[in-house]
Amino acid sequence: MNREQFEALVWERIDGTLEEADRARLAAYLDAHPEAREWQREIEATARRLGAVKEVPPPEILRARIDASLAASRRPQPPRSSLLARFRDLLVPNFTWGSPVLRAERGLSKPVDRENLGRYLAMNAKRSTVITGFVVLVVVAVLVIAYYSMHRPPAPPENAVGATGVAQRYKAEQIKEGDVRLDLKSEETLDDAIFAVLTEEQKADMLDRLSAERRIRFLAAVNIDEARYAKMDRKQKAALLDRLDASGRAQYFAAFQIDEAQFQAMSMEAKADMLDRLSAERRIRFLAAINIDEARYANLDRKQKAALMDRLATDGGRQALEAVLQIDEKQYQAMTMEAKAEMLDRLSADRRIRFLAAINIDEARYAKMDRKQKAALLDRASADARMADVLSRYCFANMALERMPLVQQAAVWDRMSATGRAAELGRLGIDEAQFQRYDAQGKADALRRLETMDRRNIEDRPRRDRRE
Amino acid sequence: MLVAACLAGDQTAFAQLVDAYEGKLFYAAYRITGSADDAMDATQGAFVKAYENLGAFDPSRKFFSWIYRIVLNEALNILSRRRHQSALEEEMADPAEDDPEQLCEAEEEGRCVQRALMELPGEQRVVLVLRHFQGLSYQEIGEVLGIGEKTVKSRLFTARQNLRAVLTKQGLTQ
Repeated sequence: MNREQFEALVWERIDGTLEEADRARLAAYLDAHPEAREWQREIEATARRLGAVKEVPPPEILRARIDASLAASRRPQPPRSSLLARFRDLLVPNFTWGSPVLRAERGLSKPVDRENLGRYLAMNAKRSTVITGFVVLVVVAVLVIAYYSMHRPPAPPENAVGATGVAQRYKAEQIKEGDVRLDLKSEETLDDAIFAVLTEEQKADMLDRLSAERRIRFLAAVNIDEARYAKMDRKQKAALLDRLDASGRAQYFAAFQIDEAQFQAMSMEAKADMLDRLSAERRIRFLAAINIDEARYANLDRKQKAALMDRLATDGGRQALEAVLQIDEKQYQAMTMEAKAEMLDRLSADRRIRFLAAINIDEARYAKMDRKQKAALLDRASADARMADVLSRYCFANMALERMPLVQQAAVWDRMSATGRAAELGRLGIDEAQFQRYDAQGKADALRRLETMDRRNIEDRPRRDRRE
Repeated sequence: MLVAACLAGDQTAFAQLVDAYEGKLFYAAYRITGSADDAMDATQGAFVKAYENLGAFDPSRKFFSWIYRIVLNEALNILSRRRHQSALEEEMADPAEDDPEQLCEAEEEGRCVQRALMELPGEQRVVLVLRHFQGLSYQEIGEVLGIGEKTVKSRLFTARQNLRAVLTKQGLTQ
């Protein structure tokens, strides 16, 4: 036995598959070769290391992803037998030579269950009916063919066009395969080709079918606000989609075809692809929402890009959906220019970038603006953009709270979504049950405490930034 | 039974199969790819493929060997696609890479073994994973991979020898 064979036996012993004879051989080899004990120790150490590795449980999200992808996939089909096999089964299912009784008696199969014999015979009778019917049909068909081959109808005279004349006059050329071509250019995607043949009505429908949130984002991309959109006719709406570049359009095709469930089912690769397909502008906006700039994005690998999408789906996306409108347009209109500018300054960086992107101003240009210009920016934004990105954050500002009557201040809590309120109450360390016991004054006080916390947070920000 | 029920339209039957195999398949894929993300992709892809092709499943075979084979292929395919991106290397990059002692102190044992596993060819890694991390017998490994028991033994032996060599190089098998 050489070293290799010895080591193979050691592994077999560890696996518990070593036979008695080999066990004796192994012991003999160890006695004769003291150095083999060292080899054995090495192998055992490797086995221990392998055995000590802890199992890694699947992440919880995996099950959701599997379920979502199964829901989106084709239902499994039972195996299909060939046409011939199906026909054979119809005529002679479970074909056997001789009856089951005979086969059993000849020892060719298991003994027949006598109680089931009646069922077998009934099945046989049914099968005979099918065979008889089939034979009758074949005979009738043969007779009909034979008759007409012997008694052909006379050919019509040349001028006997009769009722077919009209049909022949209006008959159209059949559409051939070659008549329908998509003519895809090499750089053109199938989506582009489909888009090119959509009617204006269909394009307008597409826009109308968008959720309000998606439409606002879409309109921002083509520099149209919701109010202007509302006045548009179908033709103009259709033209909006034409104004988007190909990649922007692709996103909106995706908007129709991908829902949350499908997103969950997407692989990491597919998510990264989605990001790559975003237009530069959309990507910047997307990245701003999750605090990643384009330069950093360019260095990300596909895995990291996919992780970004996950972050959006869990944090940013949800945040956007749960945006609570805490101040209305009327209150905004009552604000001074100073207050408006202050609102913008106090926005978090990501919110401000998003807001500025919506009105096509970048951060660098913003930094150079004076208070008046900043206030004017808010005026330029559509009501929706203002509400979504700015006003929603500022009900807690003193300038707004001070102007509100106590009841209205308390009512701010009622206008929050359940999740939003739970989050804010969580910051204050109180639960919903405690909160429900508060009167209007208590609720207003709770708002002020939040406002103080926000203010402190904002005031501390430059210090924190410097530390970082 | 569950496969037949699933083919007959029972929606819950496949869910039971997922319940039974999700953890095992994920762990196998994780050890093959060395990445939780890739393992999730492989497991998800395997279940979808199995579901869509359930009609083609040969009932005379064991379901577990069929689905294991699918997930292993998925995992290896993902790895070959990732070869140039070296996502794993990045994920497992360690500043103490050159110093075996420091490496062993710094990293958990599992990560050391995983690193060693990743240095083996896919074919060898697969048999090691099936034997040591899935606890499959030689016969079961043979069924999954469609090879004979003797081939399993010899492949496993080569894989173990190579793994030991890598671990020794890393200063782990002392």
